[in-house]
Amino acid sequence: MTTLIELGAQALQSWFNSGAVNGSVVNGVQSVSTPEVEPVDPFAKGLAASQNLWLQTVKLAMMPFNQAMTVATYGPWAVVGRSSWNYLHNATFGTLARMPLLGQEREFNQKILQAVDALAQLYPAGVAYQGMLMEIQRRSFEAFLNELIALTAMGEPLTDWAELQRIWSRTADQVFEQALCSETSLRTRGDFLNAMNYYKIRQQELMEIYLTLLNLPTRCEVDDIHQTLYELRKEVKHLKKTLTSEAD
Amino acid sequence: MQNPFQSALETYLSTGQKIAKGAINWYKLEEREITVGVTPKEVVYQEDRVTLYHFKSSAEPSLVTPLLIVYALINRPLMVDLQRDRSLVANLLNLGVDIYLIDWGYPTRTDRWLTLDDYINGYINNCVDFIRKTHQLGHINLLGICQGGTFSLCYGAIYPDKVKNLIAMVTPVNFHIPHALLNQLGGCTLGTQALNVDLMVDAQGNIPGDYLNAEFVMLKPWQLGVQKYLDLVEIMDDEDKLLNFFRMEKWIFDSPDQAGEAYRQFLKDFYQGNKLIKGEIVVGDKSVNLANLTMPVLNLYAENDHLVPPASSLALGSYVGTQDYTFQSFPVGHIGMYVSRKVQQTLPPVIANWLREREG
Repeated sequence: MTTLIELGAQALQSWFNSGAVNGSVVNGVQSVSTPEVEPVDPFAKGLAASQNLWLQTVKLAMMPFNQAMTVATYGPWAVVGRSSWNYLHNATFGTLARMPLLGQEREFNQKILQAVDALAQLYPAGVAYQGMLMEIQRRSFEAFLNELIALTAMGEPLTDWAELQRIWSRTADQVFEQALCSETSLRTRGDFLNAMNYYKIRQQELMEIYLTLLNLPTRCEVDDIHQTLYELRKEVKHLKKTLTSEAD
Repeated sequence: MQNPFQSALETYLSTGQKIAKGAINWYKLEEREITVGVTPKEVVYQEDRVTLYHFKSSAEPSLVTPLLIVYALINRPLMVDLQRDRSLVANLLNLGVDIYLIDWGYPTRTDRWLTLDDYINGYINNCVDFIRKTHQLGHINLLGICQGGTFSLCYGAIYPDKVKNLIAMVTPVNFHIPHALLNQLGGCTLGTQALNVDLMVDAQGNIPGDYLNAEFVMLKPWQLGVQKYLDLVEIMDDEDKLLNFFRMEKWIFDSPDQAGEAYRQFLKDFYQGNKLIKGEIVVGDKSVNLANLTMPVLNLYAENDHLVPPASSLALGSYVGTQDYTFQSFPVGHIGMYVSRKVQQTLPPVIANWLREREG
């Protein structure tokens, strides 16, 4: 489907290409070129080129949204997520975050930067996951409509809203199950979960620094104690069992 | 033909009446009334957070060998005794079976390091030894449910002399069944790309019960997350049905956390590695070979199970070493195996009769 922006872009482009600015055709009326317009020509051409470039950029930027609205596929949303992550973070702050630092605070600062980087990685993964769910919803709605058409064709029209809701739940869940079983969906979901867990680990590392500064026990220290307790408890149980069996 | 407007008006009015009556029922209901586990029982053994219950029966058991029920670590084991008219435990007691049940409790951060070795070679083995000692028997009957069934298979394969008869109910055996969503989400095809278990356990410590609940709801998001609450409108004017709905709701969302290390091993070895049928599972220092299951085995599965596909349970028949292998299906889903009124009329006699035939 051609959108308003594409139509606008095409119209402007054809307007520039047709030489309207240098006076050949204006409003569909043929006019005679005169030598007076020639000095303006290089400027007009430059303007047309820059306009074209700008319009092309706008068109490209809007394309994913446009496609998402009209063709309704989550791919463009994923593209937007990935692109914004690549341009806004990965190529700029992301590189900075991964650079080795200097000075006394380098370890601390590095942890902060890593946490921010992890959060930034979570963002595109989340966008892709939400996009995937949106796409599944769209397919569910399509399947739901097909189901309704099939029921009507079989002479079994719906009698109440509850039945309608039940058909929606059943068909939507079927589509969800099939869609989520695909390798792409599993990978998208996996990326999201893994990014969340990775971010949580980075968060905890930062928190441990603050807890240490406040002279409070950290998660790692408590885990160590729990592990020691667990191992000791297991050893005591084993010894008790050995003693009991020897006594028997 | 009825006027559609009149029909819509009638539906609207009857639904309104149901909601009004249901709202009063709901208002009168108190949280303390939502009790799960109705059959009288006593605590006979405790270790750490694990409790072994012995159910009290009004009649003397007609079967000499007691039955130990091993439930999954996910959700609470009292599902087998949810309500009076649909209790697997009560029905089995009435059929003369002496029943014990392991309750795993609620693991906390101190239990994060518990492994499958602790659960299988530790807790289950100690409970079995306690029952053997109490009844002065060499071996007892074992009924494993869902993940507890997988544990029971491992236990039976490691200690075949301690298990007289083994019953596996809705038990996953082959974890690589195609198009089974739960298996796929666990990483049976993509491994760490679908779920990096190490990363998850390192980040979470214990795996939150709420996370697992969300995962289970996401298997059928509309039916489990929306539809069942819309259907509540249809039953809420009936006090008993409303109470039963809340019992089920409590059971579903009263979900204990999973001990981190046990979860790690279960997901990696069973879901991702499918090592049970390959004979590669090692619990502690003991290998699990399903061919060691030489005792009689009864395999019960649900035909419409969306958590454990029938093919996953049925795979057991190809790997057990016994000559006495029986399987039977029931036309319900995973949860229906415990709470379906119809199944509760047929399932307990199947179990009791099968045990009785092998009592000698």
